[in-house]
Amino acid sequence: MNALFIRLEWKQMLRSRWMQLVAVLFVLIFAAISLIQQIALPDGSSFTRQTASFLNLLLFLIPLFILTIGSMGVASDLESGWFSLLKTYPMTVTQYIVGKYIALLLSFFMILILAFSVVLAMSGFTGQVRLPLVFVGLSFMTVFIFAALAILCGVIAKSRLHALALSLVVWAFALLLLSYMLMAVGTLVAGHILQKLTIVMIHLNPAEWIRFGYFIFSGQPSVLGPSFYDFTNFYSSATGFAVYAVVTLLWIALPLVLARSLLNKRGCQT
Amino acid sequence: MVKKWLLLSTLFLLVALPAKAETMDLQQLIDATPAGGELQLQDGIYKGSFRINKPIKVIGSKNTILQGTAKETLLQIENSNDVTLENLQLKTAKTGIAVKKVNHLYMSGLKLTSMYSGVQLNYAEDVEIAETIIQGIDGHYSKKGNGVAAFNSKRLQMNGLQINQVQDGLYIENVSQIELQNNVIRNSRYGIHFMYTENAKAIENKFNKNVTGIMLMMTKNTDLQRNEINEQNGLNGFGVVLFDGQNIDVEGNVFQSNRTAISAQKLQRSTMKENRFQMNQSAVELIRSNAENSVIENDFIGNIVNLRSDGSETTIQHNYYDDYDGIDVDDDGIGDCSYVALQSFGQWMVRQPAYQYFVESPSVVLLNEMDKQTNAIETDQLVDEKPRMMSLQSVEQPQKRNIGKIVIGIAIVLSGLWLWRREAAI
Repeated sequence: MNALFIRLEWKQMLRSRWMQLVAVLFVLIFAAISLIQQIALPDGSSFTRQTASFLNLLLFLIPLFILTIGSMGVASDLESGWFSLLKTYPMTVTQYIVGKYIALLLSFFMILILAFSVVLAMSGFTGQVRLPLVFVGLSFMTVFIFAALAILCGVIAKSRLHALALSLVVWAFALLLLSYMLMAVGTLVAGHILQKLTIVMIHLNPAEWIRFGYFIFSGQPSVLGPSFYDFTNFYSSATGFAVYAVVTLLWIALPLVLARSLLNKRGCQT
Repeated sequence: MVKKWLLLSTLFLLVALPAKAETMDLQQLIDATPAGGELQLQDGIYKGSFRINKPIKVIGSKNTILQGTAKETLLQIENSNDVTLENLQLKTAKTGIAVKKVNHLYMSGLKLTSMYSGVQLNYAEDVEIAETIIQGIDGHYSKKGNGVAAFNSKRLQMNGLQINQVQDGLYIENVSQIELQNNVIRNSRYGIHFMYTENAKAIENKFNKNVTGIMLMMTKNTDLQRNEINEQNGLNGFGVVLFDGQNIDVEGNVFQSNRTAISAQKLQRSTMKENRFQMNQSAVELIRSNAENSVIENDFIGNIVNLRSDGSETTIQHNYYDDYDGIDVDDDGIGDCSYVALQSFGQWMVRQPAYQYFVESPSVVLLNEMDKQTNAIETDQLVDEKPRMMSLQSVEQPQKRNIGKIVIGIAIVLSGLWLWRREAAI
């Protein structure tokens, strides 16, 4: 039943005009930025405006698209009664959540693979475009984490419009507002307090967690500055990698578990 | 019986003689050479510690090795004129060569390995060191000495040195008239460390993966020209630090992938001209600078932060910035509106290092865009009123086609589109 449901969801995703437009947009922007920046700069392994643009593209676009499409998909099921109909079949809430999650993952993996393939082909033509493996890995990780959050947003929302609004709020907080709030607090408190608050925020904000992962896995923790020397040293060790993996898994599992529990509760109420 | 003895004697000679030839008393050979004479050394190992205090040429062969112990200086040259050392390998010593009160010293083709520090010059004049390799020991910078250290000396030249894994590649203190050219210094604390030096030139050297490429402190009238300063990108990495210097000309250098390319602190009457700042985290940092300093005709390409300061003044003009978005209607090669490098975030980073975490994060990128609008009216701080529209140099990239990548890339794209179309079909 679950495989059938995943297939059905995946087909619906791919048929969606919105999803098709997202794919075209993402591939175009990704290819354009990689080509323009790489032609302007020689090859290098450091953190430059080009790598920052890649990273920001990853952090801005993937979460935005996944959160909106994923949450509205779930909210639509709940709002239209499709979920109530599905409940009449031998399918548990867990199977529904996992099915939606996997279909969302597969759809966005496909977009990523298309984008990376275009960049690969371009690198063959020009000999200049380079896509570091750490970006590829982090892109997939971003999909894993934000797809789980999208499902949670969809379950919390009462309607499709509510889901859209909620996704945008989550996206804005993760990408922009939390950072601005912390920067503002930094003007009032001492440097060591700002440093500790930043470390807390890195763990509590998935977008920052992914961004931090880039600096650790690309071997460039020095970009974060001497204030974070001990912190980056820890996460550059084997234990740090293990903790990073655990926190990442928690960012995937917790939203899904919470979504399941909320949906169960909602099911009992209706 | 006689044959047996002959065989044994031959074997003894074959085994024992080379061993005896390998260890020779170099000091006796030096002493036996007349002043102004030339001592040609054969291949072999010369063990001990040696002293030169007369004019002499010591010329080694392909494998002439001088070997000491980790507790003492291997070769001392003192109170002498006209000394030449060529083609020698020096192994294991606390200091490889210690020079004191020597005029006209020439050293070339040396290789110094496994020693705390390489060459020390004290009160030396007219010294040239050329084509020499210095390989330091493993361990923290605090547990090793310098490649070449020069104190209280005059008219020194060092060309073609290759120095790796030492504390400071070239430590120069209280020296006047020194020229450092074509040296390569890697994996050390400071590539060149100038202290209280005057009339120095560092030209066409290469610095790679040091904590700081050139550290210049309390130094006057110095030129740093056409050096390649790359990948000083550790937590405290700097391409060049100019601290409390006067009349320093930094010209025609390439700074790539450094944490901070140039940090100028308390600098006076100095110029940074025609340099290329490429892909650095911060290109130029100006702290307690003054208006007599100038940053002119440089290229700023792909840096996260181009210029930042603590608010002090500097003349900034005619630079090329790849993020300048002005236009040039009169086609004179100069942008029609000013380039304002002032970024709130850049200033915050100077004052509060913990802010560095946010460097080029999505929120800061947006903030910088807003800054561009609000800072457009800035006229005092970090403003280039005449930004160039074109770079001085073009980035040349090799064009290499890779058919494999093209085929794989296109194949995956086509397969992906086919799969999408098939799955989306009803």
